Amino acid sequence: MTRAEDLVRSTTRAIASTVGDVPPLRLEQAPGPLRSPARRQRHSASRWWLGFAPVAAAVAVVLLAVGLVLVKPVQNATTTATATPTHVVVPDDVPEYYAWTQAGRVLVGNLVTGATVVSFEPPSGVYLTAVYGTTDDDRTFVVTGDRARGTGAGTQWYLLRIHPGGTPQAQLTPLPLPVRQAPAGVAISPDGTMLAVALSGSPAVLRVYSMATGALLHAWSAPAGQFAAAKAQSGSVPGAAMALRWSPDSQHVAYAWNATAIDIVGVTTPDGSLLPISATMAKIGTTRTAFPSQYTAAGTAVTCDAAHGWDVVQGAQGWAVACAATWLPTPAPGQSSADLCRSGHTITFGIGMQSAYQVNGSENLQLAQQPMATECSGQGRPQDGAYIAWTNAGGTVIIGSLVLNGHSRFGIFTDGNPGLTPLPPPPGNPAW
Amino acid sequence: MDIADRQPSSEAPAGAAALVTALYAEHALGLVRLAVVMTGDRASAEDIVQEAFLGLYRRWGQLPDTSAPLAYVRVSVLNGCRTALRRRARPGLPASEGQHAESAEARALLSEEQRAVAAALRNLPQRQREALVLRYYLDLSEAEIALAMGVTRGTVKSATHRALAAIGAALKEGSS
Repeated sequence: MTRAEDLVRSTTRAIASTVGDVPPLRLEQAPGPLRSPARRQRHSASRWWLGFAPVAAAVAVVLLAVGLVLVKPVQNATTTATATPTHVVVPDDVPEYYAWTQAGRVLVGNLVTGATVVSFEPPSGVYLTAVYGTTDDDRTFVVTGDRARGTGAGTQWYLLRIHPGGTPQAQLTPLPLPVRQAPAGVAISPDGTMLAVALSGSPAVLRVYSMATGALLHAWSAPAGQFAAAKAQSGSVPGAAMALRWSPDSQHVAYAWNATAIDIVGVTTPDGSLLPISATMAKIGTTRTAFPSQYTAAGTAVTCDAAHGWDVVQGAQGWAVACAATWLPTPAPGQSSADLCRSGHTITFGIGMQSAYQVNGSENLQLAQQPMATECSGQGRPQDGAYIAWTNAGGTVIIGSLVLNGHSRFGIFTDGNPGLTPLPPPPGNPAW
Repeated sequence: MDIADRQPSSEAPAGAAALVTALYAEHALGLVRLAVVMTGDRASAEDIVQEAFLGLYRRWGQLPDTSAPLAYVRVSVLNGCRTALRRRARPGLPASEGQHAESAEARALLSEEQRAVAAALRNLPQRQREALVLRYYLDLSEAEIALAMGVTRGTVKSATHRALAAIGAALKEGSS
C-alpha cells in the first residue's frame, strides 16, 4: 500500500472516529413541536450564546479531551424530567438544547419542552459557576467551577458534551487549562479548537488556549482595565458570558472593554499590547434618537445598553454589534422610571437588536426588532432588563427574556405578530 | 413531510418496522461515520442516515431484494451525501454553509499531515472522493464500490487512481 493510500485510510478513519453514537431511529413523526430532520440543519455562523447556553448534540473537542488528555468524566449524568412537554412551534435555526448552572450544578434542558434532561452534581469540593457556549456543533460547552481550598484552588475548567439520545446523554470532563483566576470573560471558538479567556486587573490579559491541550496559543495585555460590558454595581456579579465573543469564522475575538466599548482583535495578530492592535466596533451606552416613533414611547430616545447582552455578527455590510435595548420615556430631570410609572406614563419595554455597522468609520444604526411588551405595574428592580440568550445572525430571531418588576417573559422573540412565542423558562434562573 | 408519507407501503410486511429498527441499531453508527467522512458535518450525516432508513421503511414492500437491505441503505446514504454536498455548493448560501469542513473535533484529532489529506479529499471531484472513501474507509471491493456508486468497475478503478494521484500531488505540494 502506498503512503497516500495509508494516509487516506488513517485520515478517513480518524474523522469517522469522532462519531461515537447515533440518535435513535424515528420511523414515525414525533408528536409535538419537533423538528423534521431538515429543520435540524445547522446555521453555524449564527450561533452566539450568552449567559445561558443552548445546545443540541455532540462532537468537537471532546474526544480530544478524552483521547489526548486521558481524563475521566467527573460525573455520570443524572437523567431527569421536570416538565411536561409542550407543543411549541419554534422557528428554524433555533437550537433545541441549552445548559446553565444552578446552585452549583449544571443542568441541560430542552428549550422546547422546558424539561431538564440531564443534571450534573458538582465534583467534590467544587461549585460549578457558569456555562459558556458554543461551538458550531452546538453540543460542546465549557463549564467553570470554583474550588475554595486545597491544591489547585481557584477556577476549575470542564468540558460539557451533550449527546441527545445517547448513553450517557451528556458528559462533563476536566479541561487542562492552567488558569485559576476568576475569568472576566470566556468564549469557545465556533470551530471548537480554541478558548478565549479574559482576565481583568492590572495588567488585564486576553488569552487564547488550545481546547485540546490547554496550551497557550496567543496572549495580549493592557496595563489595567476590566473586560466588562457594564460597570459593576454593588452586590452584582459581572457576567463573564457577556465580555467575549468570537467571530463566526473563529478568526477574531471581540471583547467588551471597561463598559465603554466593544473592541475586536484578530487571533493571528502577534502577541503584545492589546489596545493598540484592537479596533473599536461600537461604543457602549450610547443613546440614539433617530428611531421610528413606534420604537420609543412618546418619540423619545432609545438607549442601547450593552449590559443586557451584545452580539457580534458578520453581516454583508461588515462587522456589526448588536445589543439588547429597553425603550423608556426619557425621565424629566430628577425623575426615575418608577416615577414615570407612578405618574401614569406607559413604559414600553422591549427586546431587540440594535446594530451598529461600521461603514467607512461611521455608525449606521438599525433597529431590527419591535418592543414586545408594555408594563407599568410598579417600581423597577435591579434585575429588570432584556436578557438575550441567543440571536440569529440577522437579529430577527431572539431567544431571551424581558424581566420587569420581577415578572419574566421568556421565549422566542421575532419581528411582527405574535412577536413572542413563550417557552417554559429554565427553572431557578431569575433572568429567565 | 406528511405523516402518511412515512408509512410503509401496503405491501410491507407487518414486521418491517422491527426489521428496519434492528438494521438501524446494527449499522447506523457505521453509516453516520461514512456520511461524516463524506460531508464533514455530523448533523447532516445523522439526518442523511435517518432519511435513508425512513426511505427503506417506506419502500420495504417494494424492494426487489430484501435480503440485502444494507446495500440499499448505503446507496441511499451516498445519494443523501451527494445531495447535501450539492446543496452546499449552491451559490447564494452563506459561506459557512457552503464550506465543507471536518468537525471541530476531527480538526483537533487529525495530525497536520492528515489535515492536509482531509483538505485534499474535500477538493476532489465527488466521484473520486466517493471511490476513495468506499475503498479505503469501508474496504469495499471494486465490484461493491461499483454497485454502490452505480458505475462500472473501470470507472471505479480510474476514479481511485486519479484521486490517489491528486492526493499525492497535494501532499507533495504541501511539503515543498
